[in-house]
Amino acid sequence: MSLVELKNVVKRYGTNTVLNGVSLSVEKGEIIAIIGRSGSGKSTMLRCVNGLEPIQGGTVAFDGTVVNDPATDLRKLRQHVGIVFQSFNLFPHLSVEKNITLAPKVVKGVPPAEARALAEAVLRKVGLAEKIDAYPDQLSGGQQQRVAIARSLAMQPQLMLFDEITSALDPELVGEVLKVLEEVAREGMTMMLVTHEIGFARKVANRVVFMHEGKMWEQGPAAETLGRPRTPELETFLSAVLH
Amino acid sequence: MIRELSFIDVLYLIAATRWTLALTAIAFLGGGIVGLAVALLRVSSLAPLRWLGAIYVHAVQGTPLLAWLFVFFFGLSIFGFTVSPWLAAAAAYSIYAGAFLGEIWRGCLQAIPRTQWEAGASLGLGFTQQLRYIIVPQALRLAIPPTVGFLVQLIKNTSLAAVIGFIELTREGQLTTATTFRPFTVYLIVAAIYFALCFPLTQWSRRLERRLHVAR
Amino acid sequence: MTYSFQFRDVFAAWEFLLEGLVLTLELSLVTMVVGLVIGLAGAAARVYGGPWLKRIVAVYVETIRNTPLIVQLFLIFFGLPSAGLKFDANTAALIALSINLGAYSIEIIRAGLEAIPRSQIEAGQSLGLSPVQIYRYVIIFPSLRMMFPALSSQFVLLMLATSVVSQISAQDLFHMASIIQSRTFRDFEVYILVAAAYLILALLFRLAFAGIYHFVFARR
Ligand SMILES: Nc1ncnc2c1ncn2[C@@H]1O[C@H](COP(=O)(O)OP(=O)(O)OP(=O)(O)O)[C@@H](O)[C@H]1O
Ligand SMILES: [Mg+2]
Repeated sequence: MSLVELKNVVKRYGTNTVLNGVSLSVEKGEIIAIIGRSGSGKSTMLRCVNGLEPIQGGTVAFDGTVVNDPATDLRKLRQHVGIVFQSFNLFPHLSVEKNITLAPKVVKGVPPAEARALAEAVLRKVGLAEKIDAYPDQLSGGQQQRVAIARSLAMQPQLMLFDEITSALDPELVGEVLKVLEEVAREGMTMMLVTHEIGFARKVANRVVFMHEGKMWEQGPAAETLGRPRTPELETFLSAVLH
Repeated sequence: MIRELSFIDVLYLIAATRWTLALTAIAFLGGGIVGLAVALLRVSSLAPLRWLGAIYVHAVQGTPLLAWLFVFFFGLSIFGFTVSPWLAAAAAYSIYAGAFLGEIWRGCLQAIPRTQWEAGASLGLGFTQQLRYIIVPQALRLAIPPTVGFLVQLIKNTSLAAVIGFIELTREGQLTTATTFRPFTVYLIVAAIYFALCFPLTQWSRRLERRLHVAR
Repeated sequence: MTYSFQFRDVFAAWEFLLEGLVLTLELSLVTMVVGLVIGLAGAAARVYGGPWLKRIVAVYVETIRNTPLIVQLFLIFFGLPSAGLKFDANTAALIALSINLGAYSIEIIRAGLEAIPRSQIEAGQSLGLSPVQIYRYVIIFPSLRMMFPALSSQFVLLMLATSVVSQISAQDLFHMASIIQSRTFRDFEVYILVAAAYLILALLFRLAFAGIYHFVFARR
């Protein structure tokens, strides 16, 4: 059974159909890069996976649980699905430690001492152990995004969603965040990442998915799909972002 | 019996100020509880609850506080309740302050970006947990300056309780006027006492507001 | 014990209520005009005036905003006669309300004027607009649009606050209510009815302000 299974997903905002019958399955341990033009529905698809967006048709399933079933306990589901946003979305009133330990403490009931150790461990992973007592506004964009990744990791999710997490960063800070991503990937995490970094997608992803006009336009093994696009739309897209 | 306005009258006025403050405190407490409920209704995810909150706010903000005082003081007595001015005032001011505080606090809650709720939800926090750990602590900082500002309105508006015979600063002023026939001096002193209570709060609220703007 | 509502006696006195309603409306509308004039003049003085003028306006604004309307009203109606200034109740009410609204309007309008960023004025200058044109298109119009919501809710609050003039026996809607109350002993019905009348007035005012906003500001 696939870990994530989207079947004919339809999502509309009013009369604007943003996802028009998207199907995709993701196996455990896979790393999927999602590319496509702005407005093609990449973020929306990602947000359907953890139930942030209600859908109008089709089904989204995670680990056998139907996400769009009203009876599904989304809180439980989201404990297993981490998401990192383009704009970090750290909690500005909480220290780095509290940002990371909030959910483990209140959602999972992890005792305080253990939570602190957990925060230290995930911060080491993203290379920010010394920033444990800092506040978000004392950190650079790259550091904030690494804390956001650590915050997600602390819930020990089975799947992680990344939505253009380097797009809001100054160019010189992109590298440090991508390095952390690679590290997470190496540990076997299942990942779906929306990205404009084609080079990074080629290097890290097992599979590339190209979205166009709310549809799954083309997908396949990373090197092959990026190297020899089969549709003119992907070809145009690639030549636009690569040059 | 007419007598001269003396220093002792001024002391009486100052002493009556404690009832103004007590009424303000009660109104703030009662209004705070109502206001919290109203603010939560207004940001609820269920539309009927939001409407309920909106109707309450519009109804209260569209009627004079004086009408509420009269309804509770004179109105309820016909049902066989004997209503003391204290009880009538406490009820009327809680209803009134609840609508205004509710609106102020709703604004503060809604000033927190939607993405903060989403970040909480994505970590598996429920609605009340998001509210308690993420939204309210941030909204609280925004809420302090306008809440202090409203406190000034509240202090001033407790003067209306005089009309149902509640003895506070303004009522004491009326009584003093009746015995001394020096309305100009008496009301000037009354105004000065209100000013002494309100002006520092106004300034404080402004300072907090400015600090908040600098911090952002 | 059950109470049977009886609005009949109360409705029978509708002429009183209408009379009171008319005075409440008159007081509100005249006060809004006078208050707005005070507000515009005071705000201009506060922003562009000399240091003394600024200080005087500031003292006026702070004094009024930090004392209750009812005390201001009592001071004018009961207090001023001993200084030789005697007004009838309606005039005293109008004076007190106007002075009060004026102070709040000054603050709102001043904030609107000061909210226009310098860069906007400079942009106007660099486009070759004359000072008068800049004043009209860059300062007055946008700041009026910005202050309009605050000003109109202040006006609605003022309309409701006119009810305190009943306490110096001005014959407004609220005063009429107490007359009917003393005749019919239907306290609850009277005050519920009057509250409803104010509520409708407040809604009509809001509607009117929304209409003005729509026609004057929203279509550009
Ligand atoms: N909350 C919303 N309400 C209405 N329309 C929306 C909303 N969110 C997204 N859309 C629309 O849905 C479409 C797809 O948006 P989405 O954010 O999924 O695109 P994307 O592929 O992630 O683009 P980008 O690369 O710019 O992030 C866009 O046309 C957008 O305008
Ligand atoms: Mg996006």
